Amino acid sequence: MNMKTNLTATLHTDMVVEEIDWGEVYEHFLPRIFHFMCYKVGNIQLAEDLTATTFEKAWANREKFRKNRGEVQAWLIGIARHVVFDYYRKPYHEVDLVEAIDVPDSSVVVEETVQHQQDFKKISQLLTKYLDRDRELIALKYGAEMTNREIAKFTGLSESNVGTILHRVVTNLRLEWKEKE
Amino acid sequence: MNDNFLYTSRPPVRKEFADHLYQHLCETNPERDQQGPGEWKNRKIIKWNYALISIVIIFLLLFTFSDDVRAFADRIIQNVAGFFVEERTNSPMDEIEQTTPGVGSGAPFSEITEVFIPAISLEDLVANPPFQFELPSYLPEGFELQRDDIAKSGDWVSIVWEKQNAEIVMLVEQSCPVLPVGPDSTEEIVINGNSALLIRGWWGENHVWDPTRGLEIHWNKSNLHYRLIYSQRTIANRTIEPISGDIDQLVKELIQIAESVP
Repeated sequence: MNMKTNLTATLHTDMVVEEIDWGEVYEHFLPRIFHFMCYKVGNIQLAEDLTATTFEKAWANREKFRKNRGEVQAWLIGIARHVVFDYYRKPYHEVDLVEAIDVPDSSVVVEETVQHQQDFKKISQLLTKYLDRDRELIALKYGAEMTNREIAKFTGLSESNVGTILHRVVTNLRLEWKEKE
Repeated sequence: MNDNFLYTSRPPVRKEFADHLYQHLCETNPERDQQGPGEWKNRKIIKWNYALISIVIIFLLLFTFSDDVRAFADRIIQNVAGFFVEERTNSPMDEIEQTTPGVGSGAPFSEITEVFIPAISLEDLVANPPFQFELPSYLPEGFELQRDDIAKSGDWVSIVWEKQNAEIVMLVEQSCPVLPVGPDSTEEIVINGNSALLIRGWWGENHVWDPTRGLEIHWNKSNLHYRLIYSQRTIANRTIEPISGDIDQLVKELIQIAESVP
């Protein structure tokens, strides 16, 4: 018996992967990706474009997605982050965050939506004063609706660190928000 | 923390945008996405059902007319205590000898290509382990570490202890292969409260399973696969021979060794 040579025999069974209903994925995650984009780029039209790009990339690669349903969120947010990164990396696409906020949104016609747009512009303007890292955490928490634990896993920060940063940023934002009212 | 304003200030997703994007995604993936979300799943299940039925029919036809397929059906892969074991009526080496040109009946043993794995020193292993693993703190009396038989690869480590003609090999691997075993040779045991696998026997002469030719126990710990192999060899040519002595007592000792791995 030469057990050492037998070690090379490695027959692995396939990982069991859940069936994923991509239609449900779209319905569930479209608002999260869109709001993540909104907080990332501060412009509704641009957020729609980048959201569309994110889903196009995801749909084109979904056959290769071999993980379970619970990991779809991290996968989609990962694609979304790359889409934003690619967008700002390209020189002909560069848009200053403050300028982007002032781009008019032609899609808005309803009064209620106008209020939303004004609120969003206000919060986006406030966010421009914060660090990239702070804005990223806000986008992940209030855009993508991730928990602190998920954000910690996603960003490499500790959970308590995520909680502390978010608490500080949200407290300051709330004060500034009230001042502007 | 009052953070409601960060939710209420978000712009809603425009229905026109959501519908248009979904339609666009469906158009770019027409085969799967023209159906509604729930129908994707059903369609895929139906497809798989057809595929499964076809495979079963083909298999039954082959089973009827092919010796090879019947031989394949003799082997059953089972999950025992979390390990995949393949019950076989003949050893894997028997198959290799039958299918490899130049190897098999009448071919001299020296023609078989052997894999040479250089031994390393214990000091090398301690200084450069391929991964973090633990050693047992207990060994039956008289067993001594065989310094010339320590070996490692990128994903496994092998350590040997000997006492006269008895040998205990400990293998620690980062993954666990399907284990080829003889019929009715496996049972579930418990090591430190966790399920583990006991295999009684090894392939004997003529590639037939002999339940007295060895003992193996397998367990998982800290994402590593540990196995202990007990065998006895003839002093003259180191070939494996049937175990002499109380096999149940040996099983207890192997479990004690395994339980001493921290």
